[in-house]
Amino acid sequence: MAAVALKNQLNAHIASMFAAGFLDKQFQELQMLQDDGSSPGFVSEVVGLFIDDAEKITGLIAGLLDQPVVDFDKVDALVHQLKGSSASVGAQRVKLSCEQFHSYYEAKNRDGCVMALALLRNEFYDSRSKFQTMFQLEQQIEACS
Amino acid sequence: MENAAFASGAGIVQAYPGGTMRVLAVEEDPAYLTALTEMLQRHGYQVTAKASPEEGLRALQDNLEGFDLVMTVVRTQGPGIDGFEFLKHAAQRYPVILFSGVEPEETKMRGMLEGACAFLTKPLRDEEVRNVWQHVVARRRLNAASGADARGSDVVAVRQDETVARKRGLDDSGEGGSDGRTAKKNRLNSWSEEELHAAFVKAVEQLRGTEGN
Repeated sequence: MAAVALKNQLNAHIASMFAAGFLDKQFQELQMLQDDGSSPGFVSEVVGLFIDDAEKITGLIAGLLDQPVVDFDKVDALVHQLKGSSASVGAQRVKLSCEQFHSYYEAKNRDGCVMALALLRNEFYDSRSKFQTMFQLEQQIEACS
Repeated sequence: MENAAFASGAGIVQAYPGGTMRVLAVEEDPAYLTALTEMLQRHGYQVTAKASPEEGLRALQDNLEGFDLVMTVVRTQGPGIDGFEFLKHAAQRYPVILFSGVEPEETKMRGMLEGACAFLTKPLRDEEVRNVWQHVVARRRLNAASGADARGSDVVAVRQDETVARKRGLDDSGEGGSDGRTAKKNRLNSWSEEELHAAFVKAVEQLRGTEGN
């Protein structure tokens, strides 16, 4: 009974993530890989790797923007990497934030990049929090089973 | 039986001559490397996953016969070679699929001109991953055709086999007799790769006595 309630809560939570634009259909692709039964915990593993990697990348970008002379090519490369990484797990808001970053480093605009990074980080932290809630619910469901 | 084996994507991959297709997957993004590996395995591929083109190149050098296909990310952040440099080494021996985030067409063109058999955009769709076996088969056919052009005696052997089969009364092509054989000999030089392959398969089946089964 508790498991059913938790499953409903989890489904509602995921639905709200889709509705609010945190997730796109790529996340559904990952869920399908897990749902066929051969890889339980696969989604949490992949998203966990994404979260760790994104944390590292945003830190590197911040470090580059802190330098007296900003290497915008490296900023470009890191944002491209994070965009690909977020796209691969369906973290849509993070991906879109990366796209908004583009015009600032193209223009070699440090202040613009700093602002874009702040927005990107906000979206990333919000997404991370949503994912963590999702995985906590999954763990509770698993514990009930 | 053949149709049943091919009913699932895994069936096609596992029916591959020589056994399951072996893919070397190279990607710096750990999340995507995990996802891509899972997708490939779900479709029946045997996957070796490496976290950089540098590691991928070492894997190839350590086991030259160990792979049928290479899939590699193009852009890398870490030290060592990038995907394009890796492509130069790998494409000499293997079909190579490049993948990346959204890239300009010039980048994709560069990849194709430098030897890639495909340049895909991340994240790859499930259908794209399922169908990578096609590049292996295409490369094998290309290699076989290149080999057949260089080895004229093999073509003669095919023709001689058909002659033997005809003498045994197994050939009902209606091209029996010396006139028929001469006509076929004259056509030989104008055969396309597909005709040559079909003739070879027919000859083998005739020798086995399995044609039409």
